[in-house]
Amino acid sequence: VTADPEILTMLGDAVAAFARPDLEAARKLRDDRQGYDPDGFAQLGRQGWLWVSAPEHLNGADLGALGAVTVARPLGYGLRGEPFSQVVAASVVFGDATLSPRLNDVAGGVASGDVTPGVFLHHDATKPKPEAAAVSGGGYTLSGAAGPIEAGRADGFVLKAYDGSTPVLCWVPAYTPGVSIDMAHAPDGTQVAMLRFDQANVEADSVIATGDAASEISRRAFDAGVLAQSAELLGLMDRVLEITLEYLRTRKQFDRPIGAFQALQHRAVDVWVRKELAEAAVYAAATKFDLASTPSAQRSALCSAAKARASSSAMFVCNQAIQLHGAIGTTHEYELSLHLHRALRISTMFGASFFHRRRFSDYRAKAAVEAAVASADSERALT
Amino acid sequence: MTFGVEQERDWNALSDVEFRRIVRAEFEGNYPEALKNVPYRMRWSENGAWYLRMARKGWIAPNWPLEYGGMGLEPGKLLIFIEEGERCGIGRFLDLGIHMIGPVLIQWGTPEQQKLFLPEILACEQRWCQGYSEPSAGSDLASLRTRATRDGDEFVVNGQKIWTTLADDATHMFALVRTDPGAQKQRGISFLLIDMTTPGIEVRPIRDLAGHEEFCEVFFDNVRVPVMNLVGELNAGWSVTKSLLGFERIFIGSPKLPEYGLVVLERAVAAAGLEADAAVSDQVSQFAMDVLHLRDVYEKFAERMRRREPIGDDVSLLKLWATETYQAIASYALEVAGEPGVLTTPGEPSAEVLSDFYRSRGPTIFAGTNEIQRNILARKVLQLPMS
Repeated sequence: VTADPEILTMLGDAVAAFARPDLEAARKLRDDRQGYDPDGFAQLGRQGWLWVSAPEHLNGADLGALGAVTVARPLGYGLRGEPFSQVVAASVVFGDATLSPRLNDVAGGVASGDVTPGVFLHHDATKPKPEAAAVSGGGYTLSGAAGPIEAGRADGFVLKAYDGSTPVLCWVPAYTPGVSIDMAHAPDGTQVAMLRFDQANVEADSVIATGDAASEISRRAFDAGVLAQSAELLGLMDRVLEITLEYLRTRKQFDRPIGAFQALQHRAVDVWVRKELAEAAVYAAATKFDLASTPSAQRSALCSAAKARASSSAMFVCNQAIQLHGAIGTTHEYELSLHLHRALRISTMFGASFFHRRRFSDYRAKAAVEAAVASADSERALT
Repeated sequence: MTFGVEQERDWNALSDVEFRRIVRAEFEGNYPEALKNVPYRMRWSENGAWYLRMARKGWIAPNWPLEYGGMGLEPGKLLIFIEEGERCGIGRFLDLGIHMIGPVLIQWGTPEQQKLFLPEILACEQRWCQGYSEPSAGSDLASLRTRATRDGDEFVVNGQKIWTTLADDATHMFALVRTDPGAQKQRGISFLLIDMTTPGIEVRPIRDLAGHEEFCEVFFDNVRVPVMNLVGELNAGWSVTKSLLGFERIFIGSPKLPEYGLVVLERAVAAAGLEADAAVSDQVSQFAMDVLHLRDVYEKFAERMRRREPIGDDVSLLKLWATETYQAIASYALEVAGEPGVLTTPGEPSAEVLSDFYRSRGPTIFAGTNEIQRNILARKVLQLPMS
């Protein structure tokens, strides 16, 4: 995939125009624990934006990771709570796998925004994992638990379960008998599902992939989702920095704008630096994501580094913005609270900084081994 | 007139891969092993032979135009040349003649000045130091007080410069001097070329934290400088200086030092047997990520250079992140190494964590302190009001 920069610019502008911050609506969605407007999600589907990275054979725009980043950033800027990164991950799952007719229908529903997917691709090793016991005919029976999973409105789940140590990637409709859902509330008003499985059946035509294929597909999808979240956080930082700088230029104390004080100027520069680092990290990872020359270990390392960076930068930016605003920054009513609540959600979804730092480190070590092998080849090419 | 050695080929006509291959082969095949990654600034007596070889080959001035005896490299090729030098661990000499005064003379110098100085710079017969900072003019450089008074065909220079890198290894100095004490700050400054053998100049080395003598004080007592050594107009030295700040600023933020710091840190972790320590691993991962993202930011500015776009005031970001990351890594390596990290065994080179720690202290200060960089960013990029 080599996305045309002009197409990406036009796409970004279109999403930005669509997702202009509407503070009143955002406040209401948060405070009523709605998280997002289902109509808004459907509109993203109608525009084709949900399927921005999906391949052509699924009627996607095929704009790769850069396409997803281009859509996600203005969504983050506009405080949109739609589960965009979940859909990006799902689009990679459906795009990389060989789909049954039934799964093909599910994919079409996700593309149009009619089917909302929850995605569970990476379980925390310290928590009980979803287990899949093979039954005759190619299906599985699920037990155990999975969660947290973004999207309280999920119509079904892309789930990575385990048959012993063998991964099984499957689609589990939310109404499947034996699946019970507990909801938890996130600070931004979104709902997060905790699933429990009690002899829930997965029919053979809902199995997406198993074994190594399931591992590879789910890892690539996870990387794509994580990168989309990082771009959402980047958009969020764009907005927080913008309102904070404006505040520094206009708020007066001691007869001058507080932005004229060097202590606050330097603090503001540090906020900007963190945003710039996240921006460079996100675009570097997105650019390399779809290159055939990028080994998968390097791709995972770059995506986790981008997520760890974007998460810690976003929290830094929000925290500093609160301090720079003074008391008004600590109120529920002021705009900053909306961004902080959203940052708390996205920065932890699919793993927080700490988790991704470790994942980065693991894959960096793997990539180094791969690179040592590959460098012999490139040395040969150079000499 | 023609300058320097004729180039063996049109480098810009080569593919990047081919050019890189040629440069790498030259460096790796010929640069002395013992001079790689030396943790201090070498003197001419140590690495002069290498640069004389480069001069004979016509590779001493990769950044100068062909017609002035340089390699005439376009920005992308120049970056490759620099990257390969860094990759090979080549140490700099007192190369300000190549990087600063050469480009200044090409832009501002009279034909006489070019004829007088450029060939000698290309031959490494002249090595130039930079006389900017003074005891009372550091961050506030424009308050400098070294005076140059016109007397017939000469200026008479009196005053003092400080933090002059390797002044005792230099044959010449380009200096900012005050030529109009009545004018406001920047307006009364001129750009002057001074032969270091002129009577009245005294150089005293300053010993730094690591015990090296890379900086000097330079005293001027009625030093007579020919009027023809004035570059640009009288009292217009500030503009001449500022023209230097475009292209060079990206290199202050090169990821090379922090990348090297990370290697030193990982060796220190291994030496201390802490590879499996969870707290250390998390911190090392963070630093590895800091360096990775520095590289990503660097690439963004390098791409601007390759496209010949203006580099932008936001380039100060690179200096901040590169130098502060390097400092944090080097400080942490010292912590990890513990007591052995600060001990030196007689007869052996100082422990690398300690020398890396010392080396990390300066970069946040020189070439515009990080506080000054933050001031610039706050005003020019973030558009915050003047205080």
